[in-house]
Amino acid sequence: MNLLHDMGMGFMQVFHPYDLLMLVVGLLVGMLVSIMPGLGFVMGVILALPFTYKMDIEPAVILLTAIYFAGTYGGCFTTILYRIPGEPNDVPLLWDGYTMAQKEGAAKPLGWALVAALIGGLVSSVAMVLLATPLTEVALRFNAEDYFGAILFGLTMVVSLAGKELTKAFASLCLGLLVACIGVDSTYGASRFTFGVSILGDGVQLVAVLVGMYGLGEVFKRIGQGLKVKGIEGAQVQKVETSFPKWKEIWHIRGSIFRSSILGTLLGVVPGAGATVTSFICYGVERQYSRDRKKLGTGHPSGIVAPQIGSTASVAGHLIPMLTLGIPGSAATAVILAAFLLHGVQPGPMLMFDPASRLIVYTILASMFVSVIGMCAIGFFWIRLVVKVLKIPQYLLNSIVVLFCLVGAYADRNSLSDMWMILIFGVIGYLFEKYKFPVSPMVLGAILGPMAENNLMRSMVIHNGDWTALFTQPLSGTLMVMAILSVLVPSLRSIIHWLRQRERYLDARRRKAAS
Amino acid sequence: MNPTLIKRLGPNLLLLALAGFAYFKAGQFNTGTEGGVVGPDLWPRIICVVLALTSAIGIIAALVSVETQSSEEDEALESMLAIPETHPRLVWIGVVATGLYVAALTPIGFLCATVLYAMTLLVIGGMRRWAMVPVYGAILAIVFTIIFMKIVYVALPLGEGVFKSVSLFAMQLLGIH
Repeated sequence: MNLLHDMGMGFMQVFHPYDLLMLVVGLLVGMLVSIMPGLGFVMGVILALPFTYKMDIEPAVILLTAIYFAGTYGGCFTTILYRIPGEPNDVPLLWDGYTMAQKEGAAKPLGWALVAALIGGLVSSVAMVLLATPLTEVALRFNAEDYFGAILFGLTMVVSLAGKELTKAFASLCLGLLVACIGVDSTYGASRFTFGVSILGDGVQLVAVLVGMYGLGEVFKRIGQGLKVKGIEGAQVQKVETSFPKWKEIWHIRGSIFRSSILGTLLGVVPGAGATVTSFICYGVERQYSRDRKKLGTGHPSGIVAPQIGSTASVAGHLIPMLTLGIPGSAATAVILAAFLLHGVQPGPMLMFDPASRLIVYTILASMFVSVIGMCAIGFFWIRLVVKVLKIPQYLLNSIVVLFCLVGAYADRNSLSDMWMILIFGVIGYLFEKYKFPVSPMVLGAILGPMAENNLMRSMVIHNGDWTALFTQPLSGTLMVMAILSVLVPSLRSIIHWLRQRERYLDARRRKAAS
Repeated sequence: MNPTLIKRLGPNLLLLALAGFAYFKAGQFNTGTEGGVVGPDLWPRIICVVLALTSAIGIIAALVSVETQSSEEDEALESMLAIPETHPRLVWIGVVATGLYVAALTPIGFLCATVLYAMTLLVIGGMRRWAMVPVYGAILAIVFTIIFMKIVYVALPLGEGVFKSVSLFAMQLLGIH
């Protein structure tokens, strides 16, 4: 009953004119940024962040959440219509979505994508609303060691999902954690890595890291690529309209819908498994286990539904650990966390205790449902207008993004030093992209570093410097072991893979020498 | 040493040096704690050790790596997502232009600096309708001034001397008080 009451209050708050306006603006912005090649929902939430400084916390977070939701859906239009994956998570849609569009016209795959986004969004939102209170209750029992274990597990999961670039991901994470050490230490008041530079005394601003690494760094990368857009050449442009699949057709792929909804929601909770990972895994599972697996890649609805459900379902999955534990699992939730912190609110289990902040949480949860339905309505009715943004020249778009990044970050504290910081992190972000170092571990490291350190230091002080306390308590011990395993398992897999490849390589050389 | 090896080793060597330097600097923190007690240097030192280990593994991996063939699927995915870097010099021109822009904001003000910077960005981005470049630059500067000064209420730099007069005049025209 309490849950229904809280959700009812949340819905009432969402339908306040200003909050609703921000939600609609967020959905439109999310659609626009995911349709415009070279942008994307992470860039969208970053560009919108400065506009939230003067807002109340609810409309600010509703705006950013709506951008995030709509961003996972909008990219399907350019993927299906023009063969331009707006985001990496849209790539699996190319295989069946674009192929179906070529065979049967674009209306049908667009209809499938819409149904998938609606189901994925609603199922995961319901699951997460039900999970919010139990997760908060668990989080409330956390002590310093448990928190440290949970954060470490989150960070190592982000690293372990880096695939072949495990050492680079680890280095990226360490750099982020080091960046978070800059400034005056909160426990002892000692000045660390400031090198006598006064602006470093306050530490590195979170906004500078986020906007620099994700925003400016991405722009520099695209300048290096000559602002080219992948896929637009040679694509046969289709008519922009959507037609819903028949109920019988939806029922036929119920297995794919069920599997992807469960998988998308669960993977969303895993830190680091963003929309891209979720979308690829959902597609991969369909290719392995679907009844129609042999038809995948030829324009089959399961190939559209699975990745789209996965992408959209992951959003709610990411928001809940951020709201209940204060641990963001993806780039977009890191920006949303930054919005909370900029408003002086620390997400975590205590949010649910105070009636005022509890209302904030349920308003955000209610806004997820309205966002999902709203984005599908925009996708159905207004998409013809929205895709017109593709006509904006890339040089103009690029200039607008750079100016938003720089001026937006300046607006936070009216400080030119923040602009310098953004430039520095922009260059680091570009070099990371150039040398294939993943950006997310560094950003999440910079965000979660202070939290990890505070809890480690508290634990050390309580246990007189005995680090084994981290392993001897049931929950923290389990989390620590899981964190170690999440790094060890992919490392061992990489070593075995390398040994096999080396054997093959030496065999080939021996054979070549013999012949 | 072949260039590929240098490219693979370079970042790891740099990170190893950084880890060593940061570890050394962490030892110089004013801890205010007696020996044997955990202090503010503990966490940074742990990170430095992990970073050094990671870089060392990266160096070993670079030295013993073998030429491998990625699977067809990997290649197809890579080609779908990646666009090769063709204009690395433009990036550095962009970086320098951004640095000059930030440095110029205090003396010449947001409006004038943004007109010049936006023009530079448009040219770097490939705009070649030369007559329209200043027009677009001016429009962008005005739009951003309106958004951030009139809507978001941010006090953007006005500049010094004659530039301040220009900024104030423009603000008057745009109805910004």
